[in-house]
Amino acid sequence: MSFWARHQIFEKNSIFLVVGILAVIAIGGLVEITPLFYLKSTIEVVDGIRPYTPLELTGRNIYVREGCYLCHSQMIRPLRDEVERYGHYSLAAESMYDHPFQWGSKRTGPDLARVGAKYSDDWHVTHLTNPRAIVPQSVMPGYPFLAETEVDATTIADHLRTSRAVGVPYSDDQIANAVADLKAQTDPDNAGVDAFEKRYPKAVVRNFDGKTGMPTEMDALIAYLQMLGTLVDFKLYNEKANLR
Amino acid sequence: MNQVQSTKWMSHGEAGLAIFFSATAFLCLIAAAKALDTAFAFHAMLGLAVSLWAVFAIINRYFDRPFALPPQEINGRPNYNLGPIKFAAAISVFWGIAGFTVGLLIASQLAWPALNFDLPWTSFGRLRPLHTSAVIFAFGGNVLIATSFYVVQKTCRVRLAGDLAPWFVVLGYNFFILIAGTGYLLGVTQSKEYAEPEWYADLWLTIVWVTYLLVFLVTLIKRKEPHIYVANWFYLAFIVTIAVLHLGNNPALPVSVFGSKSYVVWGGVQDAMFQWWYGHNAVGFFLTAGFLAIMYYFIPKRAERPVYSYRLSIIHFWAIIFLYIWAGPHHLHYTALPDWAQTLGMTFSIMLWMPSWGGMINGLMTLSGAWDKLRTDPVLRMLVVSVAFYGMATFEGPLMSIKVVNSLSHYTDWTIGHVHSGALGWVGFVSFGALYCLIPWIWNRKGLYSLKLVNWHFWVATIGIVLYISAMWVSGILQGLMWRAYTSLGFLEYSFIESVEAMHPFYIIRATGGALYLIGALIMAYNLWMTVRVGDAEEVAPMSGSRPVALQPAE
Amino acid sequence: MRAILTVQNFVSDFVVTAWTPIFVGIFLAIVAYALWPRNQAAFDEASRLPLREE
Repeated sequence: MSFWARHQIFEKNSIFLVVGILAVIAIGGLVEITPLFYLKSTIEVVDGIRPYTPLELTGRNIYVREGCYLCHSQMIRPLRDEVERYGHYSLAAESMYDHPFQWGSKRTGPDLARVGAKYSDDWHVTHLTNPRAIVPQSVMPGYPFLAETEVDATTIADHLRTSRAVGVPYSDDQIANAVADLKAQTDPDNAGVDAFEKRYPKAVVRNFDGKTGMPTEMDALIAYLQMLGTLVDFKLYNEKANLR
Repeated sequence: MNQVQSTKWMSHGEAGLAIFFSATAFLCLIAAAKALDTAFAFHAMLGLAVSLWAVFAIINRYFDRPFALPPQEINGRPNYNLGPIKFAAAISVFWGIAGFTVGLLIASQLAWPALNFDLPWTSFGRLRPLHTSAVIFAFGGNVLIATSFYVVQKTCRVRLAGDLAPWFVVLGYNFFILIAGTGYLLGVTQSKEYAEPEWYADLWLTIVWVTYLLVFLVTLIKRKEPHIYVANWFYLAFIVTIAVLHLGNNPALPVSVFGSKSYVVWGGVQDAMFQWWYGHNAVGFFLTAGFLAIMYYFIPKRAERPVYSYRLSIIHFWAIIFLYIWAGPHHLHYTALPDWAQTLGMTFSIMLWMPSWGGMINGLMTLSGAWDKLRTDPVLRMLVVSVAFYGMATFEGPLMSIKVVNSLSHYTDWTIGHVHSGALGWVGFVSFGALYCLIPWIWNRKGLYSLKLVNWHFWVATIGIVLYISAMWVSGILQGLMWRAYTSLGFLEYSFIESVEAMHPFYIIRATGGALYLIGALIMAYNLWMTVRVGDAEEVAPMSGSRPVALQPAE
Repeated sequence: MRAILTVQNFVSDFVVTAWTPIFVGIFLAIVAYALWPRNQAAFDEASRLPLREE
């Protein structure tokens, strides 16, 4: 009898241990994470940030797929050398529609947070195909297969819809025209370009890879790279208002 | 066979699992037929094949087994369940070598980029997650599962809970590894470091992990020993916290249930915080708490003396699990994460130094009065040196979490060096030491095939680690200094590519260090293989007194 | 400006008010429990647990 009574207490002890562990580990996470959702100052108030165009989003998914984030950060720290090398330090607002975030943790290659509009499309095509053709000392892998692979346009509306479900404010209009917009962005002569530009302010319409026909993965990735860090006009940005 | 029962029944577990796997086979068949991308179709086919095999194996086992399931005790002694432990221990060696090999390849790619071959599935960006997952989750995870199943049985003096459940955990976990690893090569990733597997792999891991928790917990509950030994506390904290971290970091919405791509629910700065709350605590609870449990069992066992201070271990336990969980934001210093969170992360990271060293002292001082054993027993030496590396890495960590230091070290190879002093020195060595103990125990061998080979392993791997981390210290600090160097006229002195070029010799040294470490692991694999095949070479032991081990199917 | 105050309030609330004393208290209780002389025998016994096998 006494053994049984003791045994019961010990049974409870291992459950107590689990509960104790859960309680102890919950505190740190709760204190550090939950305020980020309700403190308004977490994300700066800033004009210009918009959801990615269908082509940019496709390019971003290629960036994720190939693991670019493992060697390239997208987060400029407010340190003198970084601001001079890469441009204005990164704002939280600039990645507010990023699911997942791509800040990175390592710079085997340079930061890309503001690589947009720094190099020509041709430069990117050559560099992505064979980095050492342009930068002989580079250790980056070549991605020649991107130019040979057409993007899959059939599911792009679902991608926008899913993004909306996790909080990216895509409009019904943007979702309905996703396939047309995807094609229009690489084709300046396309009839849908005006409507596209209205849906996505500041989006660049160019034939990024220089090839006609369906957009390739090269088009998509370059479209993404060329818009990185270009949405906020820092001449108008009020740093004081967003001090944190 | 010979039992009193006249009819043989399938146990609930057998029947339930057979139905479960029939259902997963059916679901996988549909998924394969309707798959939107080839990677998803491939994984569905894999799931189908493995499900069918599982159904077959369960039924086959049922027909082959005696009427009764393996007894809990034989002649009053616990009938320990060793089959799943053998599988996990053996496959951990395989994954370790695979993971170190991929590590060597990607280290070489950074020195000689032609090794990327410009193919999608051989480029650095896809192989790097394969390396990290293979060494952390495949190698480390299997070591943790094997040792936790062993330690919990031995210190509770009962057979592992569940009949098929432990096998489900071991095989299910390795199936997760297979899905994750092949996924990386095919470009299936959600890009969250150390949590790259996509939604369906995450769901599967959740099922496996909850089963793991239940097996461990129920074994604890039915224990015969009144006290729960401290190693089990650490294992339990590891299992529980990894479950919480996995669920917190990974919620995602698939674009289609028939496709591999999903969008994670968290975005931007919140996603970053969740990611590094997860990422740092994967270090804290997978690579630290779990392996501290190994330290608390295997070092006393091998040194044949109790842990230095059991009281210190209690303080160590609660302090480390409380403080670790806060440290994540030090991965986001000077980023767009709000300053208050960075400051909290830094403060707790510095405080973490104390319990970490408390644990180190506890491990090292267990040897007090038996230091001479370090000369004669290379396995014990490996275990003790691992604790010394733990002390080194947990001193360096708080240092690097200080914002000024971090402004230099972050984004550079210094971080890579820091991680590897912990990974190669601490996690790797403590795992090797545990395997050198565990394999002879579970295969009932008197000792290892060769202690001389353990000695070789120790020295080759140690030289490898020294080359690796010193190369990364130099390259990391050099990188950091080059990026912030100014000329006398106030211009940035170096272009980025000049810093890349300067890394080349250090990348070669690093790859050499990695190669030595791999060679050490190959020596270990041979030694362990021969231990299982022939046993102790110096003293060929008769297999006397070997208790019947309830063997189970599948391996 | 209000945003800054909110954050500061939040952090200082956490650090200065209840939480810190509570955790210091819990920590000291654990230390006391671990170091309490009467518990020593039990802990010494527990530490020999792995060595008592078979």
